[in-house]
Amino acid sequence: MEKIFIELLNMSFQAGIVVCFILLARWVFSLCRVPKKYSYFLWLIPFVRFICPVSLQSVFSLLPKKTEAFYETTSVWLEQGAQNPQTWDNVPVLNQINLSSLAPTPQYSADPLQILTAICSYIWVLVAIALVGYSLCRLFLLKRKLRMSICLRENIYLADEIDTPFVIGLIKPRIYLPSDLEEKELEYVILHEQTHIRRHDAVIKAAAFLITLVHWFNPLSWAAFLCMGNDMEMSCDEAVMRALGQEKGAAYAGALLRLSVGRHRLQGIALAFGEGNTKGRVKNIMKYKKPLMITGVFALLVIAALILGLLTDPLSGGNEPEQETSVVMNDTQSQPETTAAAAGEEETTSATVKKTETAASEKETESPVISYMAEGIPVEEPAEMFTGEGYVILIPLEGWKQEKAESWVSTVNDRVGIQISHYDSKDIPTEKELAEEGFASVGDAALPLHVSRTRDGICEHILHCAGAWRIYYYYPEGAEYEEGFGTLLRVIAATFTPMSSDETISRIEITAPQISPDMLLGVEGTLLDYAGNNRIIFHDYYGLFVFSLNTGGIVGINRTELPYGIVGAVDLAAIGCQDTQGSNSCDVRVSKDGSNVYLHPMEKDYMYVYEVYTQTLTKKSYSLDGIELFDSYAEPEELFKLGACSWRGVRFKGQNGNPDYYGYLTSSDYRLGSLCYVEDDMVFQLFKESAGQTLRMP
Amino acid sequence: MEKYSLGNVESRFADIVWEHAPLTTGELIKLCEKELGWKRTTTYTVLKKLSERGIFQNQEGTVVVLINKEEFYARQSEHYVERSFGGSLPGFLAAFTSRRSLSDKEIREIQDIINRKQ
Repeated sequence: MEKIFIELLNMSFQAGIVVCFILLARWVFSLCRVPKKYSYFLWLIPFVRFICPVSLQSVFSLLPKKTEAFYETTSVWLEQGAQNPQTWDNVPVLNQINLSSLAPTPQYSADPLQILTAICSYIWVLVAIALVGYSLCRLFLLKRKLRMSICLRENIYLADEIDTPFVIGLIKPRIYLPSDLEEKELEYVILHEQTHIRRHDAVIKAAAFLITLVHWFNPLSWAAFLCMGNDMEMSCDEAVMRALGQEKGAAYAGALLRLSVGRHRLQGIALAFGEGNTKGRVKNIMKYKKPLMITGVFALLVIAALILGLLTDPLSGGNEPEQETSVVMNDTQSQPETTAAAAGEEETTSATVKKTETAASEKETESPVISYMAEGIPVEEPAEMFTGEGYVILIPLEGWKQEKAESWVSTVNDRVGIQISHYDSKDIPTEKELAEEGFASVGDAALPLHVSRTRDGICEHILHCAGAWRIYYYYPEGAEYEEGFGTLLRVIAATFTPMSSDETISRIEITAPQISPDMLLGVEGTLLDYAGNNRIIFHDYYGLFVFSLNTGGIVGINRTELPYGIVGAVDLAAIGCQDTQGSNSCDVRVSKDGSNVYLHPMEKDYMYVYEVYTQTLTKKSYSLDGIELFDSYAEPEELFKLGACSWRGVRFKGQNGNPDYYGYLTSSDYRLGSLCYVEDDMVFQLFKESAGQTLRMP
Repeated sequence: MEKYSLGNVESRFADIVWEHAPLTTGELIKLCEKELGWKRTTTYTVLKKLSERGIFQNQEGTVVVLINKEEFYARQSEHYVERSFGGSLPGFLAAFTSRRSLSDKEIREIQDIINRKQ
């Protein structure tokens, strides 16, 4: 339904522009004394645009090209971004309603915009239904009143309880007249209503009313409906005048005036005689002259131009004339080059180009690198950022080839590969179903589901991400493959990022902090944000650090094990997260399993997410909803009693009846060189004391 | 809707009843169908409405008249004079004659009415 709603927003927006043009044309027409039937006809254009999702493209289109980007999905933006990163700055302002939310279901989306879209679409449907229901109720009540009526002749009826004559009924229209109508007014009124019937105005008005109800949120649609009603009445008056001859104009105008004085207006589906602005109509009748040929020709030319200009969309690609007849809506997937080209053109064609706030740290990574630990040795592999529909993933440049759209295989070993696919929401297999196929959980808490099985000498893994994404990879069984391809594939899989919208997630290059042992701790002391899983995470103004306490064991197979020492560091000043107090301070939280660190500058609506295993930093819109956060912090008083340097430390549950113990940071002289982590009776020195040392991170 | 006013459609219906009363509802339905082209339910609705205003009454399938036609219009004009001229008949007459003068015949008829009352 959100899709329909977004489609509708697009149409409403475009049709709104058309309405403005028509209002202008209508004004020019009235200045030039063009008969109202031409103005009436003009309204066909916006109402077609309000409901018709498909339109032709032509070079004559008056609509801004900009609006086309409404249709485009993130994939195009990403593609564009991947090709030439500088165009990332040009985000069209018109599309503030971020229409490209790609997370499959709002429940899984961290994008507040998408949730908002979902809410709005429900409100839209409910109000539209309510309005249609209300109109039908009104119609039903009116019909009931009308049962008590007498047939005057043919389809003309008299009724007591109505104020104004009108036509009702789409298939078999009937004219209803107030029973107290005077004899001499009668014929004019009947003539007017019969003209309505002949011109099928009732059907046209009912259709326009329905369209207006669907676009109830758009004031321009209501304006169009009201103005169209006026033009309809006036052009109907003109038709009557043509039939009556000019000398009877005054009598006709008199009848109109008497009927409209002190009477209620019937809104909506019925066509009332006294409807619309009476003053304008009387003036129009009195001014009516047989139109000159030239005015008619002029009006027809304007109408033809407006149909060409407003009923068509601009060409999506400038240099391919055969595209004139191609349909805009569906080509986002099939012709990404074209749309990207169009989007690229916006740079020059439009003044409404928004510069995103480009902080110094927000540079696009020119050539991304996959870095990970294999057998204790840091590995860096140059990679390429592949952009699929709604996701990006890093694939190493060397040793891999793309087999199909979403599938890559190793060129080194033909039994190694990785595939990305998207489930229909109903097809998502449960853990149980997978278990029946021999998949067992790997117990990776960072993901909703990570299972693996070994069959026919092939080790297969399935990961579920963001609800409906499946990452499937496989490699031959055996310890050396586990450590080689197994690790690499896991790291590749971890670079998978579903794109919830074009702006909300972007990868940030990590700057290594520059530290020396003689630097002092911050005013708050260094905060211990996480301890557990054989690692600690701490931060201060000088940076965020992940320190592995793993002194033995195999490294690089299981993602939860890292080599001893500093395994990750981020320069917080580079991303504006260095403050530990004050209004600009940065809130640092860690996921319960210690795999992700969330850095949230208090006054900003975004956050940075640092992934410990992949050492990647991404910027997202701020939301910690649904994330299990580490919260086993100790009371500050307890920590200070123990000699901790800051108020944040960890309280561990004592095993087998032993008392609880603490993990905290301490420094004898408030210098970095003497900063230690104390856990129970163990002490780890965090920075080696050697003068002038700086830290370089992989 | 005021008590002593009938719309044109209602008065067409009322005329039928006044002319034929007392009559059964079945007969009334047939008459209305023939003369006004109404359905059964419509006839019932209008009959009920006028009964509520105390003009007719449906006594177990027979429609009887509570206020006859002359009485009804007399009350209607009384009501009109009451509403528009505060019940003052001279006021009404003054308004009526302000635009056109009364003929001798009319003056004589009015004089007769006044004499009869004395």
